[in-house]
Amino acid sequence: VQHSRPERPEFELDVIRRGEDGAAIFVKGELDIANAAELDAAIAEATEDLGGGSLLIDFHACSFIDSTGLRAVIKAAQRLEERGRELGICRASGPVLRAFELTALEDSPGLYFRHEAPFS
Amino acid sequence: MANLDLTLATEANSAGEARAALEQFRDAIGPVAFTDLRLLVSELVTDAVIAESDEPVAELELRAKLSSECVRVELEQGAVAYKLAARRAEPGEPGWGVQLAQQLSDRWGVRRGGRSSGVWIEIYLPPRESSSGAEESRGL
Repeated sequence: VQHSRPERPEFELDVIRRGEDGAAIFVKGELDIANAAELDAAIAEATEDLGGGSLLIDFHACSFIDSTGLRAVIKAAQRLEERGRELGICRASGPVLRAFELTALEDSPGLYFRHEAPFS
Repeated sequence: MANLDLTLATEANSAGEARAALEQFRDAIGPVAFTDLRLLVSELVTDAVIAESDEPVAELELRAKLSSECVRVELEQGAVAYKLAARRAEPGEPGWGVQLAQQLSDRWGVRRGGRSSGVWIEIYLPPRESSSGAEESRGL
C-alpha cells in the first residue's frame, strides 16, 4: 500500500536554433498532460523564423510520452507539412516509440524518424 | 505480491504520480508489460482529468494488485469519466484511455453508478522461467 506521494521525474525542454540548419527541441523527462502545453509553446517558438531549415525534436532523454504529448507533436507535423516541411523525431526510445505505434501515429504526414541526434 | 492503493487528485500532475507509484511492479512483470501498463494507467488517469463533467471531481482512487498470473488495476472516480464512447476517440481526447484499455489489456470492464464510474483492467503475465528450465523446454 502506497503511503508517501510518488514523485515524478524532472521535466525540461531546451530549444536550440542553428540558423539555416533550423531548430531542435530537446525533451528530458516524462511528457504528458501536465506539460504537453509547454511542448506546444516550444514548438511554436522554434518554428518562428525557421527559414529553410527543419524542425527536429530529440527524445533521447525522454522516458515517457502520452497521447497529449503525441497530439502536440502531430499537430506540429501537420502545420509543417502544410508549409511543405517535415518534423523529424530523433533518438526516440522504447516507450516513446511504443506510444507512437499504439496510436498509429508513426505514419502521420509530415513526420519522419531518425536515429541521429539533431545537427549531427 | 505487490499491492497499490492510492488516492489521487483529479488534476494533470496525477498522471505522473500514478506512473511513479507503479514503479514497484516494474521488476516483477518485465519491461514490455510494464511499458504498456504504465502508459495505460497514465491514459486512464488523463481520461478522468479531461472528462467533461457537470460537477467538479475531487479524487480518483487507483488500486493495483499483482498476482503470479496477472496485474489487475482499478480506477474509480466520482464522476462519469469512464464510459464507452459512441465514436472512436482520437489520442488526447476524452475516452482515449478506455479505448486503449480495450487494445492493451486481456480483460477489462467499465462500471457506472449514478454519480461515479470505474474501469478495471487485467494484463496477463508471461510464464516465468523455472530454475530447472523445464518450462522453457516446453516452449512456454
